[in-house]
Amino acid sequence: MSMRTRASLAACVSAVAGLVAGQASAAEGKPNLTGVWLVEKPQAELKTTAGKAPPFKPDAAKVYAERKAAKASGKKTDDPAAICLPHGIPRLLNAAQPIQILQKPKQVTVLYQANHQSRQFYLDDPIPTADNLPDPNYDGYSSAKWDGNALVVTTYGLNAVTWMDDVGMPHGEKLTVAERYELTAPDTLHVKLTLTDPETFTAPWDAQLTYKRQPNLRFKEDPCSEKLWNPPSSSKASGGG
Amino acid sequence: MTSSDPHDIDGVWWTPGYDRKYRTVEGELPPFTERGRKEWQHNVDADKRGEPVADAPTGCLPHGIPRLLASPYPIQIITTPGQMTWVHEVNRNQRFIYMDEKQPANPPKTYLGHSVGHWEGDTLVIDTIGLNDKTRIDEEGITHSDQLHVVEHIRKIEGGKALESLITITDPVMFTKPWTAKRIYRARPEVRLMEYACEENNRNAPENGVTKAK
Repeated sequence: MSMRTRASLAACVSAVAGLVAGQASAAEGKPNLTGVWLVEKPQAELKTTAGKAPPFKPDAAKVYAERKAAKASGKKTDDPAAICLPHGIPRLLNAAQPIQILQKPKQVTVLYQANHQSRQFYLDDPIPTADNLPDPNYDGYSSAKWDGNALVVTTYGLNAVTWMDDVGMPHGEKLTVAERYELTAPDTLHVKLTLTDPETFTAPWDAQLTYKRQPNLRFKEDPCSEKLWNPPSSSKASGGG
Repeated sequence: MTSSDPHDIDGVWWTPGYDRKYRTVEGELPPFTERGRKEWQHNVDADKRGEPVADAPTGCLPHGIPRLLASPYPIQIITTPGQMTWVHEVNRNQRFIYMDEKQPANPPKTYLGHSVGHWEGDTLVIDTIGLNDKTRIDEEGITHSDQLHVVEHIRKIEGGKALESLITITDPVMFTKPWTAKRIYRARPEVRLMEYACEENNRNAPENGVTKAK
């Protein structure tokens, strides 16, 4: 269980957030990403933009093949999402549930319906270098900036517990994920991922996701942990009559 | 830096300290029905025996309303057109408040319910229904039924450095009449929400309905 410590917070904040409230809902002159989106074709098996397998190193290829085989045969695996741990990045981007972007001038928040996860990106506010971060975690540490009309997010400090896709793509703690969010039409959002992990892959590689805007869709509650324990009525629990 | 606009409550807020019990604004126990008192007493006694009854958040499920509103973790409020979003650090609870809408007739019962909001002068009014009965009013052990109805009246105080929330709780199964509790949240613009992975090595995980937290 995550217990908050002020020390680790201080270590990962390089500057006062300085949120300026009361501004327009989107950065001036930038595309408005605010809204609910759904990934068009979730990739259970993450592929390169060309639809190929990524350039695995031999050990990683072996782990991936073993996990895929175990999943396919219904064997128990060490899939962290199966016990409702956070999906990790990039797997979270491929969850077949809606996401919601809340865009502000200095901060972009992305909420994920899947297991009520969220990420916060602070614009133009760099995070410490990989060597100076607190312990790696599930969603890593992200920085963001606008590159013209594209929102570019860079994430590292990811733990190696998570899988990169639903069938078990492994990665190490040196994984860096670059996400480039770009509207290609008012209701179409392309996300180009660049995945770099010298322990797992022989070279950086790209993947591509497309999200469609869902103006009439609202989040539903996804209480993932009910799979592990479904609490009884609080009255029943206390034997009330 | 906090905004001088009374309707702008975007930013990070954090309740000072932790009061695990809900009481009326006057500091009294709520006006229990017989059943409500019996269930509260059952939970308090179990706690004293060292066998606290597990409830939803001990199993990494959402805290429920109003219990979430007492949680000693930061809250990020983000306003976008037609919607206010409360991102709670604790167990990643996400709350959506749809502004200037009517409540639906029969929303599905969920942990955090269905919330609509509007401004009355400088006071934000949030109305929540559709709550399931798997959560409690507070950590101590006040229970509620799925007829629970919660109304928050929230306004800036101390020149915008804090929010005062008056939380009115109505549940004819557990209480003889509506009652109101209070919470204060302080502006914490320097704070950023951290990751919260409850399921990782959950030291409070329920076993046979008993929370093992010590």
